[in-house]
Amino acid sequence: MISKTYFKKRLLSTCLVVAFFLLVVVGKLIYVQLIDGATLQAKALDQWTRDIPLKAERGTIFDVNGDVLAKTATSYTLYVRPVNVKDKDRLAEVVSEATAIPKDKLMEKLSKKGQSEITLCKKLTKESMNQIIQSGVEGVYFSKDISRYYPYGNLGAALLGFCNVDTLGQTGIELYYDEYLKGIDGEQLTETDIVGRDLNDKIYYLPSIDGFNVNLSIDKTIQSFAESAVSSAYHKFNAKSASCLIMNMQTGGVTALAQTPGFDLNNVDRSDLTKLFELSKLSAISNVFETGSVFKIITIAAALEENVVSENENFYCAGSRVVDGKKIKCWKSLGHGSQTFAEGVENSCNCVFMDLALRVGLEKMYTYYEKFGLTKKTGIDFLGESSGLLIPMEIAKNVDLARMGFGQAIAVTPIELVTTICAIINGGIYRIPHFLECITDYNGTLVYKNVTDKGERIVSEKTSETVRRLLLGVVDNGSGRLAGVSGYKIGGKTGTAQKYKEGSIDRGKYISSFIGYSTYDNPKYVIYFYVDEPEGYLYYGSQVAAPMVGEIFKNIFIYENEKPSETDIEFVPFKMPDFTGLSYEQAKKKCYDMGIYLEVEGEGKVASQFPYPLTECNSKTVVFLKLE
Amino acid sequence: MISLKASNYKFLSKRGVALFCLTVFLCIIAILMLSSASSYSAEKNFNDSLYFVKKQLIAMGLGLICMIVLSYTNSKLVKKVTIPFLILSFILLVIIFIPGVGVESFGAKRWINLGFTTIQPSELSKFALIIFSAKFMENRDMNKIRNCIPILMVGGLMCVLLLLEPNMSVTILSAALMIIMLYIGGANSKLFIAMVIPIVIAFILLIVTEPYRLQRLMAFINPWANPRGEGYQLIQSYYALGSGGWFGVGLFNSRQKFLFLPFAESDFIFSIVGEELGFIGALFIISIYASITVLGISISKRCENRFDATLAFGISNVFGLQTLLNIAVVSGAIPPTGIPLPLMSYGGSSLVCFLSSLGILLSVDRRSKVNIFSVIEEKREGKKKYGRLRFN
Repeated sequence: MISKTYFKKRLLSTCLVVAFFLLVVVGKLIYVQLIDGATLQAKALDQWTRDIPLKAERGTIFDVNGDVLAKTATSYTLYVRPVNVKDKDRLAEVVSEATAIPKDKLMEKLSKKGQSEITLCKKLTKESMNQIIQSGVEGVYFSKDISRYYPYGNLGAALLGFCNVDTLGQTGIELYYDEYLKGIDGEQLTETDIVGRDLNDKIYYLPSIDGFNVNLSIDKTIQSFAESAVSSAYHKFNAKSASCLIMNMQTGGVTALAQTPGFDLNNVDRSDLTKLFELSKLSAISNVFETGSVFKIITIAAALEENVVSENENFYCAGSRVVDGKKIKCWKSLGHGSQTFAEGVENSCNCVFMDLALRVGLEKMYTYYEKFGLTKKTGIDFLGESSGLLIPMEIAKNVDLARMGFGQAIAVTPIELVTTICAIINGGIYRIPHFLECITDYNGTLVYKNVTDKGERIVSEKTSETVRRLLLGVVDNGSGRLAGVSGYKIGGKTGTAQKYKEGSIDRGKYISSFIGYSTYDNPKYVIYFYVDEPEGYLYYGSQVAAPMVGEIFKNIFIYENEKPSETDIEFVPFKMPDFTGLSYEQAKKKCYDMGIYLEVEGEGKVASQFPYPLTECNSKTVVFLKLE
Repeated sequence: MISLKASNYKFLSKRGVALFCLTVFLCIIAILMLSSASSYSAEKNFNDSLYFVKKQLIAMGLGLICMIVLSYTNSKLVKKVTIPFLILSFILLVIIFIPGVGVESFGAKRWINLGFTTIQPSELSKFALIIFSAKFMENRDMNKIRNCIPILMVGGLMCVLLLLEPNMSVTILSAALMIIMLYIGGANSKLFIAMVIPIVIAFILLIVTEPYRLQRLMAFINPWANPRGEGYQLIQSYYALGSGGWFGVGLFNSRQKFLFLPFAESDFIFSIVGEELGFIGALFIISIYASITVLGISISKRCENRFDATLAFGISNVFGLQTLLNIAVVSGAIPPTGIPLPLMSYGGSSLVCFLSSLGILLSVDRRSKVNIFSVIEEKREGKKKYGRLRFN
């Protein structure tokens, strides 16, 4: 038998065990309700509501003058759920009124049997949609369709870039400024039960915020000049590609950047993604190559800064220089003979630039390369920028330095080169290149302005002035003649760079280029035009790229209403004489007498020429002779 | 006024009155909560938002009548019906398996179709077990193991039948009740040790032979591992409780009741309590349940005889234990299992049975009403220091 105390003891111990479990359960309740509560509620909120996304409208891309380069087109699709339609006839009438689609056509669609949802019409404007909504007809639903539209299609395709189906930037400016352009999507929330039945009429709107507009430094018109020039060079020389970079040297803003082959932004072919990726790459920003003679401008600037040369100094070119026991040839194997420094520049004589580079010295030269921004990325607002390639200074020899002097053994990106040359020409101020001018919101209010930075002085005013003058000579008297525009002072430098393949020279493959600025009195634009692998025997920068730059400048002068100087002399027209069979000396004398600039290749007698005999020419013509 | 007249026994003690009032109060809250939790699903399934409330109100009326009537019974009557009642419960438990009579739902046969309504025999059997053990142990020395065997057999058979339905939660609850009854009845401690060993062995065998069972059992620890499967019910309960926070979203404002939380009106009604009334409200409800249990135990402690004491304790215990189990499931403290919350979950059988059992508890209170003499007697006994006094 059991005593009362014993019973109470057992009762107490049972109660204690139960009480302990009660504490555990209350503890769990505290955790779920109080500690984890907010998190759980946030998760629960997701299942309590049905959300319809409200897509934010992507911002517009404008050029420097406010012309639209890329915009978002919004249209609406009208759906009908026949079960909810009370009066088909009236619905057809209302829709017909708003869209100008014949009523009987709509009735035909509406009368289709056995469909729970009918797509009545697509590409409705916002106005027609509102008109239909306001009429109060029932059973109609709208969906918003957003697509990206590029008014000029091919214009600056790689530069602007394209969007995916969700109108999110995938390449180019669209990608780089995607965060600004895309805006913030909104939501429309409705409270529902588990199967999605609405619980009440309450709809919560979380409005979308439209994207910002991006205003570029690109000028649509100048871009189109550049586009047509690269396109014509690409076809004329059957080249692998052609590019043109135009920079405003006062601001550092890129005015145009064109390259061929291009593609249509409104109809992007996604079937071959490797090819599309290749076409979307801006070679001016991501390609690194030896630029050849155009790089000589850098050497001039460094030499002038170091004061190791005077303009009237005499140089002698025998066709080659021996450096560190190695013979380095001038491009003209016959040699340029005795010439002043300015003439050396006009002749683009390699020997002169080897001398200059060696005078500056290895260490100093490397310091200049660094100061000129050729050793690192410029920081332009574009993805995929490359950086220049230099032989490490520790292992560089004088023979390398000599070659760097005329643009070999050093590879840079076009954007690095152009930015540096802009600085050398504009008075010595280096500015970070950019595409962006400013960002505005959907009201047009300024959000961000890319203030022209004060820049950094890399060469003196005097050096800059001298370089400008020397480059003027190249166009007036030298290899850059074809870039000249009658009545305007244009300076520039040609370049013909050999391409390399697996470490050795790839014969017959060149990058022909020309870099020019204008005008001498009021320098504004620098144009760098380069053609990759022009076909045929015409591959000199003077023949291939210079005329294109001249063409572009001519168009820009007309477009910007730049008046020609009255003092300029007209070029005298004449018919091209026949040089075939003449020796180099005879041909040279004949050209000198007629005032024609001459480019030669090989040794011996003239075998062929371009332009052909009897072609209409003038004194700015450059003639190319092939000797055998 | 102090006398030993039989009429005095007709009154309830303070504890009895409090227990009665709390029960009625809890019933009112229960109907409110049920109407909130069930209105949407009733509307959608039966086109009548008060469908569950109406049925529950009928059961509640019946239950309250039973409670009051049963509170006037005397122990002789209870003892007399013990064996028939036990046999009846067994018959009902067996009838379930007769095709056409037993109603199957969610893969388990737990109900008997009476034509106009269904009843759940397992609700009855719990109490049959309590009353039977109370009567059986009354005059026996439970310290002797052989006296424990009949209870073990009756309880064991009941558990087997429940397990066949299957109704895991009630099986465990009944087994726990049987053990507690034996413990309270003074069974030899060795018996419990002897019972622990086979349980542990069975458990180890289960893990070794069928490890997936344990895995499924323990799935409640991280319901997010399978949010659309086993974890779904618990996650929905968490969402409800978590949304409640400190003070709740307000009565009738639950969002989880819109069919997100399955069994919101029955086994998981406490989740809705937590959501609408918050942690404070939930704690308040828990304290009412605890108070009823504690009052029942305190009645049991003051009983004059052993039968009444074990009976009262058993009833309080099943009430408190089932509440605790339900809240533990709802809050994810133990693996999910279907067990209704006494007095609050939708379900007539459970409601009527619990109210009736509380009526029996009240009848015990009437009999054991403390009078001045018993107080004096207790004090005297206290001075002598309790020895191994015989209890009855």
